[in-house]
Order: sequence, then C-alpha cells, then structure tokens
Amino acid sequence: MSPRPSAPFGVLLVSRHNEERALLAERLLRPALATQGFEADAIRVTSAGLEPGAKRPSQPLKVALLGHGGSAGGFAPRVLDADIAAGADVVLTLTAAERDEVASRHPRVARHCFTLAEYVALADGVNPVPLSEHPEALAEARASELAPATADDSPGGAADFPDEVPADLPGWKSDAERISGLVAQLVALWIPIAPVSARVTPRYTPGRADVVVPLEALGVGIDVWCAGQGASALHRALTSAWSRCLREGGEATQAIHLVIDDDPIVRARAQAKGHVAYAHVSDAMHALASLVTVRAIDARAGELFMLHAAGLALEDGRVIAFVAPSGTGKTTLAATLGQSLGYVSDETVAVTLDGAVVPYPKPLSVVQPGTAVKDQRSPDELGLTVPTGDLRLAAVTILHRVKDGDVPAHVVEAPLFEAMVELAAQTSYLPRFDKPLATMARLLESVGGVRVVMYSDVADVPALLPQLVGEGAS
Amino acid sequence: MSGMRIQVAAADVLMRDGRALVLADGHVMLLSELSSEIVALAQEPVSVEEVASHLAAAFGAPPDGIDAMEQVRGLIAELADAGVVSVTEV
Repeated sequence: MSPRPSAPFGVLLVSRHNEERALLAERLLRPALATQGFEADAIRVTSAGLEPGAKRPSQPLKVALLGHGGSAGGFAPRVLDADIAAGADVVLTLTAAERDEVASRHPRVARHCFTLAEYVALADGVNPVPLSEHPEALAEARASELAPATADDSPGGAADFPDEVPADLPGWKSDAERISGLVAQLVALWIPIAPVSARVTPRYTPGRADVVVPLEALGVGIDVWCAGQGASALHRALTSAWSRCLREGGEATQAIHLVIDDDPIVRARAQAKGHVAYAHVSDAMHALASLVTVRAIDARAGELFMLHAAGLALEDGRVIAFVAPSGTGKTTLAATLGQSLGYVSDETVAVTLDGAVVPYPKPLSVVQPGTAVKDQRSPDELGLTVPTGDLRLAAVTILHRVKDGDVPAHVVEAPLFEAMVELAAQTSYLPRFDKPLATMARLLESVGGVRVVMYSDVADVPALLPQLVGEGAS
Repeated sequence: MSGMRIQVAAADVLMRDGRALVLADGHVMLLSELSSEIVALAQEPVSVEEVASHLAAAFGAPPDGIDAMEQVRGLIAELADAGVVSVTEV
C-alpha cells in the first residue's frame, strides 16, 4: 500500500518577460519550499516569459529579491512554448491578462492556469485532495458558482497585479513583498496535501514530552506524533476529535510529525526537517484533517474507489454515498442524517472493486456559531450513529442543493455518462485503475446507476432514502 | 492539416451508443457524436481526409456553405487541445 514514487510536480511561473515577476516568483518559491521541508526534487519550479525580454533582470529586481532571501544567480530567460507549457502541472501567472494569454495560446493548459492570487483564493474551502489533483480541483471550483468572491482576479481587479512592471527599487520591493506573501500561502496550502515522498523524511527521536496518537484512516495505519510546548493540548484535542479513527493494534505504515509551538524559530526548524508546525492547536487540527485524508488516499490509490462524498449507512450496512463539490453541504448532511443513519464519512467514501465500503469516520469540520472559524468535532460528540452490519455500497447520489425557491426535494435518475463526468471530478486517483472508465461504470451500474437529489432543506432528504436505494417509485 | 495523422491519445475511452467518454489529462469528458466518431476511428492513426470522408458517410455532408474539411480540422484541433488525440506529421 505504499504510494508509487511520483514524478515531480511541475510549477511554471509566467510573466510578460521572464526576467521580471516570473523570475521573482520562481526564486521566492524555491527557497520557501526548501525551508518548509520539501525535498529539492519533489516540486520542479521553473519560469518563462510570454515574450522575449532582457537577458538579465534589472538591478532593482535583484536587490528586492535579495531582501526576501532569493537570488537571481544562474538565470537564463526562456520564452513560453508548447513544450514548456506541456511540462507543467500548474501554470501560475501574476496578472490576469497574462493568465488569459497563456490560456489562449496554449489551450491544453488553460484549465490548470491561474494567477497566483487566484490559486490561493480558490484553494480556500476546496476538498482535501492530493497535490497532483489540486489544480484540477481548483479548476472545478473556478468553473462552478462556488468561486469565492474574494478572488477578484479579473484584469484590473483588486487581486490583480498592474500590467506595468515596477520601474524602480521601491516598486520591486513592494512586488517582492506581495509575491513573497502569496508564495508563503501557496506553500502552506501544499504542505498537508503533498505526497509523503515530496517531504523531507523527519529524522525523529521522540522527546520525553512527545506523545503519539495511533490513527487508522481508510485502513491505513498513521501515527501522529505531537511535539513542542503544545504537545499535550494537541494530543487531547486529537484523541477527542478523531475518536472513531483511533487504531487498536496493527502497525502504522505512515507517520505525521506535528509541532505546536508559539516560538517561530522552533517552528521554522521543525518545518525544515519535514515536520508540520503550527502556533495554535486549532490550525494544526485543521491541517491534520487534510494531512491524514491525503496520506490515506495516496496509500490506497489504485485499490479503492475514493469519492469525495458523505457516506451514511442503513441499519443493514447498505451505504449511500452523497457526492457533492466542496462547500455544498456534505458535512451538514452527514451531521443531520447521521443522527439516525450510521456515519461512514463526511469526506471520502472509499469502496473496494467488489463494493465493500471502508469507513472513514473522521471529525466533522463544523463552523462555530457566529464566527467563520471551523472546529474539528468528533462524530461521538455530535451524537452521530455508529454504523452496523457489513458496509456495502448501495447507492451513489449527487447532491444538488437548490438555494432559491421552494422546490420540494426529489430524486432524478442521471444518465450514466453525464453522471460519470461529474463523479470523476470528485474521485481521487481514478487514472490509477486498469481501464478506469469501464471499472467506474461497472461499479455504478452495480448499484443501479446514479441518482441526483434536488433539495433545498436537508430535513426533506430522509424521506427520499427508499427511492435512493431502489425501494420506492422514482 | 494535410499530411497529418491523428490518433487517440486519451488515457482511457469508453464507448456506448455512439458516444465516447474519455479520460485525458486527468479530466473526464463526454464527447459529441461527431467527436466520438473521430475517436472511434482514430484508435489507429488516420488521416484528416479519411476522418472527413468517414464522417460524411456516417452523418451526411454538412449543410451548404460549410466546408467539411474545415469543420473536421476544427474538431481535431479541439480534441488535440483537450489531449484526446495527438496529431503528427508524416
């Protein structure tokens, strides 16, 4: 179940001229990855210009770059061509005009081309997916109506850089400051979702105060080591929130090393060694949900069908998967229906090729009333039912919440191919299967195809359950 | 595009009832009937001319004023942009 060694994740930074903002961003991203515990060859960061420019960057740019710990040494400008574009997993520009030009010149990379600010804004609230699938998940989010309003990255919008590049040192310093901030956010987003092979392997000797929480996620044993001054507080929070994923016996094949400390130097040292460090327990708990999920998904790639879905089980073990994009109510549905149905997961419904469901009863991310802060709450604390019986996939449904109007909840049969387009976007590591599309079709047909649930109030959904498992008129 | 040959480059294709579902560049797409026919034909390398005559036989000639070859080239370019087919010069 060890993850395949993966090719480096290719990040291509593009600006009008290579020696300008693309160089700045490239040379800020590289050291940021190194200091945050990424292996040198795990993420390949390169840059290119849309048009030929100067051979070397300007002196003010070099000075601004040095001020943020970057260097322009060894720079050789490139002009973007089809081969360079095709080698990138994600293309990041600084201005929206540059992004639109890349997309129009190289349509094949258009879906995975973002401005840096847009990428960071879109990532907020997207399901935890492996790094290799992150650009596609963001492309889906961008194409949906869920794109956050803060991503005002239209040309000339608030999040856009001006088309003109700075002409002097203060201007380049200001650009370097802003790009450095965005790069830091980007790296922070990638830490929890990077494959284990991309991270420096922590050389770790447990300290006296360090404690371990043995977890099991999707059948993968994961030890979470807690260190730093906040180790015991993190241990308590973790043990409580992950109460249904605590491992009883069995070996861990994965380890996550978390450090909670309010000293930034302690955190920086820990990060460089491949640990994951936060100042606050709540931030660590938030990141851990992605870390554990992605580690487990990576480990089971090619073995399990993993749908981004809430899973709820009838008393006899029949599981209904409710598939929905990020931020569209999976957790709310799981928390509501889980009062009477067995709680399987609010995030990932994992199915073997013969239809058995591997439960993943992780904590639920619940917004604290009156705030924007999300808490990781244990399904036990929320009073969710423990599933019983042999868990088997019985229905796959796509949730469509109708926000406006007074639409009575109802079920619609979805044509298989159209449904598969939607489900594939919500499936991790589909290409790892032999004949992935036929395999997916077979699994879906074995449960009677795919149904769409249209609802405006989640309280109306339980009445539809007989129809979803093929027991009522549809 | 004369002298060009096209071949399916998608990682996986599933055909049913004349429609192709394809997995290309990590993305699953449902193709139109015309594009599906191109994908069905391009399991082995084929020329643009062969594609155009096959489509004309299967779907009839395009309406007056529409150049069949132009239309086929456009479709092939779109499929190539999406990573569904590769186009090589021979």
